[in-house]
Amino acid sequence: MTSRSDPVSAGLADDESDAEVIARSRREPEWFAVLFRRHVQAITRYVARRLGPDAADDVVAEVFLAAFRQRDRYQPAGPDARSWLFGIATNLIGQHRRAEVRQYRAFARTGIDMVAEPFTDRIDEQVSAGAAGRRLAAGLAGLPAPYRDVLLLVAWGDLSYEETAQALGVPVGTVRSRLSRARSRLSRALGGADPSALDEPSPHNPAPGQPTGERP
Amino acid sequence: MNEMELLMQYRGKVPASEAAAKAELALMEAIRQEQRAPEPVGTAGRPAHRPAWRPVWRPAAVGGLATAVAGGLIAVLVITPGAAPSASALTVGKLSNLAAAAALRQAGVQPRQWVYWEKKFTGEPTSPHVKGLAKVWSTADAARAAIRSQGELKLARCMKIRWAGPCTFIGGQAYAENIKTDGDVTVLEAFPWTARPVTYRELGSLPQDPRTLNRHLSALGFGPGGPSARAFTLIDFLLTTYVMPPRLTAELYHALGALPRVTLDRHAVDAAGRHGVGFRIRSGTTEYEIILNPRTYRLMGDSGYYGASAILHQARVTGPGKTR
Repeated sequence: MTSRSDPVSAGLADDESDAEVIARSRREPEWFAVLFRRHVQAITRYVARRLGPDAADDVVAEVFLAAFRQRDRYQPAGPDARSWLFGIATNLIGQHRRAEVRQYRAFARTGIDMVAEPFTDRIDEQVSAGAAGRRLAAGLAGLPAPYRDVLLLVAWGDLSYEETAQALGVPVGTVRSRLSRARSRLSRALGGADPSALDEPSPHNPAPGQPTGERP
Repeated sequence: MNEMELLMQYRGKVPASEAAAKAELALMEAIRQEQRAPEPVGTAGRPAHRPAWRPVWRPAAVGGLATAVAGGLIAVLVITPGAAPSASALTVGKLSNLAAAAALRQAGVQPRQWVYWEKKFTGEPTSPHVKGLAKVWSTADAARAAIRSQGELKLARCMKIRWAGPCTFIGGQAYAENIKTDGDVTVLEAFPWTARPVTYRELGSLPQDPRTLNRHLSALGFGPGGPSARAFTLIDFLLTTYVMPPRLTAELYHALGALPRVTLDRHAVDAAGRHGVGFRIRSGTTEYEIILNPRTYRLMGDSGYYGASAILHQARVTGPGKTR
C-alpha cells in the first residue's frame, strides 16, 4: 500500500549522503538499512515493472543482498547510490532475460499487462492503451538487451544519462547512442517516425547525440 | 504519444508488492549474520567501543510472520535501548525513529482489550470535570469506557459522539466524565479536535508511507491551521485515544517525523511537570506538542489549545475496575 514515490530515509541519517551511509555500514552493518529504506521502493518498482511481481520478490532481495556484500567495493560516483543499485538490479534482471522477454511477448500476444493493475475504468482508454501497449511490448521483446537496459533505466528507472552510464559502466556517449537506437526501433514498432528527430531536448536529458557507429 | 511517453505510462503501472518486505527480511538476516560473526582482533577501522547510539535491525513484534509481511515492511530500524542520542544530537527525524522503534517493542493488542489509564490534566480544557487526575478505563479501540463515580463503576457504551459521528472516547479518556445519556444514546459533549477522528476500524487502511499518511490525515481536518497542524492534531488524537497495534503506532511516529513545520522541543514538560522531548508545531498562537519519555520514547503526554495532559499510568487489564 505504500505509495511514496521518493526514497524513504525516515529521518535517520537524514544529513548523511548515501556514500557516507555506505562507508559507515562497513563498520556498522546495520547502517545499510538506511540505504535500503531510501531506495527500496524505486528499485522494487523498476524490477517489478521489468520482471513482474513474482520474480521481483526474489530479485529485489538479491539486489540489496548483493549491494550489502559488495559495499566494501562501492565507489561513490554521484550524490547518491541510485546508479549503483540500479546497475546491480539491471545485472540481476539480465539473469532473468528469458522471463522478461517472455513477459513482453505474452503482453504483445494477449494485450494483458500481467504486471499492471487496471488503471482506468474507461473501456475506450483500455482498448487504446492496450493496442499501443501490445506494439510497445513487441518492440521491447525485440530489442537487444543492451539497448533495452539503457532505455528502461532511463524510462522506468528515471535515471539520467550520466546515472545510466554509471549503472552500466559504459561511457555516456554509449548510453546516448544505445538510447537513440532503442527509441528508433521502438518507434518503428509503434508505426511512427523516428522520435529522436522530433523531441525537444530537456535540461535533465538532452537530446541523444548522433549515432556513434558503436555496435551494441 | 511517442514511445518514451508510452513507456513512462507503464512505469507507474506496478501494483503494490511484497518484494520490499521480503527483501527487508533477507537483508535483516544478512546484517544479523554479519553482526554475529566474530570480530577479528585488532581489525583496523573497527571502533573499540560501540558508538553512543546505533540502529539495529529487529523484527517488529506485530504478530505472525505472514500477517506482518502482508502488512508491509516487517522489520524496522530501531535503536538499542539505553543508547539514545544526546539531546543535542536529537532531531525530529531521529526522535520519530526512536519513538517508532519503542512502539514496535510493545506487544500487539486486540481492539476490545481493556486498558486502565491514570492521566493528569491541566490548563483550560473544555470541561472543568477533566481537570486534575482522571482514572479511566477504556478499550483499546476506545469504543467503550468506564469511570468510577462516587465509588461506583459506571460503564458507558458509546453510541455516537455529537458533531463527530463515530463512537470514540476522545482525547485518551480525558472527556470520559463528559459522558451524558441522551435517551438510549450515550453522547460525549466535548469534541476538541479540529479534524474528523479516524475510527479504529479505519486505522488498518491508513497509508503506510509517512508523507502520504500526512496528506491523508490533513485532508480529514476542517478546523483552523494549515495541513501540517491538522495532521499533527489528528495524530495526537490517535496516539492519545487508542491503543493501537505496534506497527500502526510506529507509522504515526514516522509520519510525525516527515511532517513539515514540526520542530523538536528538547525541554518539553508534561502536565505532571515531568521533563521529556516533544514534537511541536505552532498553529496561529497555539503550540501543540506530543511529549515522549526521553529514555523510553513512549508517549508521556500532550498539550495544545485545551490544556496539557500527562499519562501517569497505563496498564492492560482484564476488565473495567481492574488497575493491574
